[in-house]
Amino acid sequence: MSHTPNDSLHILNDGHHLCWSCKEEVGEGPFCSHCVKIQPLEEVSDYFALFGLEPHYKIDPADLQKPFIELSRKMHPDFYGQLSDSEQVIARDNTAYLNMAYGVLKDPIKRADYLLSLKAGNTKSNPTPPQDLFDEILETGELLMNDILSADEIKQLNRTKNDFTVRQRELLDSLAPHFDKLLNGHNSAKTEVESRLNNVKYLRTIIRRIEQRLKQDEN
Amino acid sequence: MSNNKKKQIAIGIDLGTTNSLAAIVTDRQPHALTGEHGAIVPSVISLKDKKLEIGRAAYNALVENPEHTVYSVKRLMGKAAADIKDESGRYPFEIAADPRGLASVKIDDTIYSPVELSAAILLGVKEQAEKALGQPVDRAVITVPAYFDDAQRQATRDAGKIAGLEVLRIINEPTAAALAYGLDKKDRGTIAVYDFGGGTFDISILRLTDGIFEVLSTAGDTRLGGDDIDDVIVDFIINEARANDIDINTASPKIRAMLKRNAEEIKMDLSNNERVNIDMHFAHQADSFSTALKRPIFDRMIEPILNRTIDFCKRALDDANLTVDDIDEVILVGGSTRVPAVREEVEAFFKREPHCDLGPDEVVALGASIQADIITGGRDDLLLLDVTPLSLGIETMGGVMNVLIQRNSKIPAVANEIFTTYVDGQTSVAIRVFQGERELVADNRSLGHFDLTGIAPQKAGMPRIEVAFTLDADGILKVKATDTRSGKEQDITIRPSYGLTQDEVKSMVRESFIHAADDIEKRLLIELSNEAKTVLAATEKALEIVTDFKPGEEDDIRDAADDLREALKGNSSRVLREKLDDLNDATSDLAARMVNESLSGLLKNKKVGDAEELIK
Repeated sequence: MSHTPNDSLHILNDGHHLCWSCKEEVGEGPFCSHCVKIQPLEEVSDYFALFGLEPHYKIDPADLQKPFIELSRKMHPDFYGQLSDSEQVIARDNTAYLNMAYGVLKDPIKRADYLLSLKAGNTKSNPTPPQDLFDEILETGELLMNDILSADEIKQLNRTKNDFTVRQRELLDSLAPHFDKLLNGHNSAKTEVESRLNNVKYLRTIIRRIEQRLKQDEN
Repeated sequence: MSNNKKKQIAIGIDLGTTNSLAAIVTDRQPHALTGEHGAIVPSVISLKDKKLEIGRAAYNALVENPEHTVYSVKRLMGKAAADIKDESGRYPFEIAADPRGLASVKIDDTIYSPVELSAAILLGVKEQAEKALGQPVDRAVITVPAYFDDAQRQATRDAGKIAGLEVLRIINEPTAAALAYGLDKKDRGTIAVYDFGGGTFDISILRLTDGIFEVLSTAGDTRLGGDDIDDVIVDFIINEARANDIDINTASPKIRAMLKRNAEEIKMDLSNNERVNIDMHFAHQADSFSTALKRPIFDRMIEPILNRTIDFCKRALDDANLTVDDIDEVILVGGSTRVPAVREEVEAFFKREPHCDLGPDEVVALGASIQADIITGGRDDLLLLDVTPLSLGIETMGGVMNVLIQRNSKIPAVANEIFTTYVDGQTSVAIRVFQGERELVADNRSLGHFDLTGIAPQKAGMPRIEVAFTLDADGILKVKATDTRSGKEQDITIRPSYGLTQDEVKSMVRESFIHAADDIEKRLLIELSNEAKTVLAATEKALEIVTDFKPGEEDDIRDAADDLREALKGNSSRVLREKLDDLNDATSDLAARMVNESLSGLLKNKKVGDAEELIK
């Protein structure tokens, strides 16, 4: 396999481990510098580092996608079908880990959760309704309890769903400056991030419930 | 004499509800492996008086011998008999429950599992491939509908094993199709694969970037396909008959088989004609009647089915966070996309004309063979990144589904969850694994369960048991549990809810009824023996006339020839092939020199025609 070298990949490994196969020092990168066999991904400092990114809330999807593809090309089990069982298992586990990290960083809510736990330790996830949407949420809750919905009520639910989706996105976007503060050592920003994230999660749940209800009505 | 050593080969197999076929990549191009009736092997098995027929021969027996002829086995894979209760009445053969309640087929009081019946189909495909290639095939990539659950995937892999195949990978049919289409295209874009087969429907949304085929989402129904369209036509015929005061005896297997065959023909005719005349004759009934089915009526009849497929398309787009406008290309796969109404519906929904230039029947097998080529090291510029169609989780308090791996997660995938005990001194916990999207496990599919035992008795909530899910690149789940305090790993075997245990598979690999029909070894042995004798004769002749041997060459050739003579006495085609290749290797240089010499000698006399004769 031919692969272009990429600085971002060197952090996979600090270079002082011994290869599982040839017992020599593996050097940097996901392959042993001696026997070129694939090495299990060491627990890297964080998911961001795996992709050669600085830990930030705002990330450009392309900056994530590119190293993800490069790493997949190096480690995917499809390229290890001819090799030993141990190498196939390492390839599978490495790729599974890579996929998990990618899944977390790609999703803004999961990414926020992850970054928060990374920088502020244990946090409590406690979905709470945003204060400014309190009335609308109460109303929606009542609508969702109805067995039968009128055409107007369905319209209203659709409108609410859109409102909530927009609000959710706004809240997610507003996380960035607070995360920046947090990453710069302002621990006070933690509560701000937490409360917004809890609002987002509340909205996520209620949006899902609206969607389910609307789908149920379609059938 | 040839010096091309046969490399270990791997084929791609599309194991379809109605038709199956194999393909292989040679010189970087995939092509279907054909037999005397083309590439397609009908997915039909007949078992009259325990004599196994597969494919075309079985298909021909369908109407004559309906109770002994089985089709659409794929719909039974990984299912409980109770799951398919509503549709079991439409088959002419008998659906039964095996002792564990799994859906099976009963023929002459013998129960056959769908896994074994699928293995028989795979065997038929494998034999056709071996004939086409002139050598044994024991490795394959097999395709499944993207929406197949864990039990159905596992059943397919087991079927491969029983048929004597090392299953390199299980891949999704729409993804395989995308691979075949995207093979030579260097472009980027987002594509939708609409895969409507004989028994299943899948929609997959993929992103193509420089040879990477990244599946963004998938949706579908493993029991929605051409079979359902046939059923609509069968109902139409029954109703028309009733209007003519004829009550069709649908309890008769023969009549059910005949109706099914008629419906298929009418459906195909309607793809090319605006109107099809239907003449029904019932041998045992004096009655017969004629009617006609017009395309617009047919289109209206199947509209609910098409609407369901479009609903899945919407969901797949939603899951990928995309809209119809984001789709650059639409690919049609599967025989049911030949129905004009299907194409029109797809075109109307996606607002663009769909592609179908690769032929909806072959494209999946072609893609599978490309994947086989990738896995066996044939190329590394293409890569499939696929997803799991359904969420995976375990039951927690109150029967709630606790999801560990979300649907549309990339595979392979891992997930961990820490568990503890509810009662003081508890030494075991039951872990039940489920697949599906509903909140309560009762509404999802049980994959299996295991008891984690040997937990050191502690206060409730103290033990920390890590349960790890590993979903491999085939989309098949493995579960591991570790007591994190002791670091002790529990050896866990999930007892599958809807499948065979690995011991059962092992015994079928040796003892399945399908091996009675497995005469490929014998046939290969005969073919190879003939080839070996020809090569030996030619070698002996060469040894007599040639004088300019290189050092050691003559001895090498004589040794290889002796080995081959020895192999001829045995009955292993593998050994014979090996020794034959060895002899060909030993003589390759000599053969080349001989051809050159005779050519130069002959060319002096300008007898080119003879020279061609000689080197043939």
